[in-house]
Amino acid sequence: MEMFRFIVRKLVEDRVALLGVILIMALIIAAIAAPVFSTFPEDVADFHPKNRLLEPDSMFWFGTDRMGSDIYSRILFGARITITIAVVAIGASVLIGVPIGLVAGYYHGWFSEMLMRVSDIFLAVPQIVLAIAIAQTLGPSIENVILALSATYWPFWARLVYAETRSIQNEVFVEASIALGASPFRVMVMHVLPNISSSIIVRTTIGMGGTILTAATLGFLGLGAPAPSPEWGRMISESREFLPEAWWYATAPGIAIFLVVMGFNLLGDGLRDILDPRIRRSVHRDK
Amino acid sequence: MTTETQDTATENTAKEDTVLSIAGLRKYFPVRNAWKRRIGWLKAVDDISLEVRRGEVLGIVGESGCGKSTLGKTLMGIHPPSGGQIVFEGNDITNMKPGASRGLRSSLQYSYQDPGASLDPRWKIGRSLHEPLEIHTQLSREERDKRVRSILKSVGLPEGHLDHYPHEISGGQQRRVGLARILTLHPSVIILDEPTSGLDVSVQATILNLFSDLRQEFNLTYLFISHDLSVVRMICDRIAVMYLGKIVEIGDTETVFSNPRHPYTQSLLAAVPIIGGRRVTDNFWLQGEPPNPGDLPSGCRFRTRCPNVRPECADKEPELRSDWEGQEVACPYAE
Repeated sequence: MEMFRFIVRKLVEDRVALLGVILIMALIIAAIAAPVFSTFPEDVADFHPKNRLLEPDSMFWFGTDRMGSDIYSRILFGARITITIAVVAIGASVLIGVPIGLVAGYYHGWFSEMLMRVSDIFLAVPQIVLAIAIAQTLGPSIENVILALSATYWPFWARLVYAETRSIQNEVFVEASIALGASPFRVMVMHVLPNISSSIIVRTTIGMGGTILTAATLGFLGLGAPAPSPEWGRMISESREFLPEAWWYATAPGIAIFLVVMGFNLLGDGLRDILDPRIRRSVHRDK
Repeated sequence: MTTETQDTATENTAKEDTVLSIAGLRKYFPVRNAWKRRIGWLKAVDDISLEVRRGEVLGIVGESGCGKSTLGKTLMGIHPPSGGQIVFEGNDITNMKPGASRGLRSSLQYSYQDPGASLDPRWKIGRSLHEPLEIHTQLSREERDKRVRSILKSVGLPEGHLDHYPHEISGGQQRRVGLARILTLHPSVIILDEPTSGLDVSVQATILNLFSDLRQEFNLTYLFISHDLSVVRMICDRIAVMYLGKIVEIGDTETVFSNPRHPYTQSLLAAVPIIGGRRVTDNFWLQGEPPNPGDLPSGCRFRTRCPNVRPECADKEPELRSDWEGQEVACPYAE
């Protein structure tokens, strides 16, 4: 709790990170309150051929698409898909990667080596290519995008946690707990994990941005949710036929992706400045 | 008849008196080259045999890197021993990990050289003090709290410190917390690793007094690892002098200090400055660095620095000789 208050206080002081927080809050509010804020909520599925490809005006704030649907409303609903994909895929990656990294880092032996070599194999394959392969094999759907992203993202957490565990393991307090008789599980969960949590939080925040970008890429390639879905990447993909005349068609989802990814990256950078143990320790020494 | 009964009685007390006995204990670390091939062994602890009597303070002294801390950590099971036997309270604990056989291990505890670093920086003092009890006992939260508070009083810390983080208290207080953490388990033997290092002299004195008080209060036996000879002389009943992983001299503190017989002990004691005494340099003949412990000289390992070295010293490793009352020396030419 004290930790949380400390982070909030520091974030408020850091203007750039605060901008990140505001952008992410905007995304969350847009996702939750999409039916309230959208001007034509039913336009996610409906189409109105007579309103096809209208320029932005007072009625259709961001213009309309090839089906005559209001782009502004669709973007708000698209935020839901973006958040779902990012949270579930990153959550799964953390749940898979952190325990693997922790176990591989704590124990020294062939099993640890094997775990890390497996994660190396996943890291060696270009992420987008692997995600395309998985999405292609299993067919385009949001579930498969999430599966593809989780399968490709977990090694980043495994590697990070592995390295941090190996370094924290040399700290005297870890050895002291072992000498007291603490079980490996206790040492890992109660001593090692809390002491490396800041790195995990920072990596997770920055990872969110990357995941959203990759998800949009998969959507753009037609591997995401099928047709009427207001997924941002898919919207940009659809707009290609009508460029450059219908300039607004790609602009709105493009800016949405840009702002959200930037928000997570700014917050991640801010959190790293606040939580990085080296920087924090020097702050304590100055006091 | 009477003499017989007496003999068995003394034998029994002698057995009961030994709380920790070490026989031929070895800890070798592999020395590897750039390709991770083993090219030799670093003999940090090499064939050490010791008996620790109940209630005594046994000092282990020697230069940095002579294997004092490794000896302590091997006894604790932090390093698995390479050979030999450790018998604690009549049970062989040689290859037990610290987590195994909890009842036994909880009564043999290790106090770290740097108590600040031995506390989890993210845990409040109170939580760190509860941890040993959580691991080793089934006590409820209230019972644990009661015991923690009583121990805290014994080591002379205010209860308010329970809510502090380790970096918020001083070095002397961290030392007290480190002790309290161990004492919650009511151990019988505590290995104190350089317990006075990093403390200024006045704090050192109070901490040493605390050790004596706690020893009486909890019936403790100490293994006092230190390189500070004046402190060792003050607090220890017996001392063992280590050189490169081996004990070269062991005996009652006063005997060893007043009449050191091994040339290494002699030079080590001569290095202690005495107010009004001779200048240290006059009789300090120990020169140079000790040889690389990964590449020891043949025969006596002290011969490269020994003032009385003879050609025969290179042939055979000297054994401890118990030719004197209360003193054993590993030098065939000691008088």
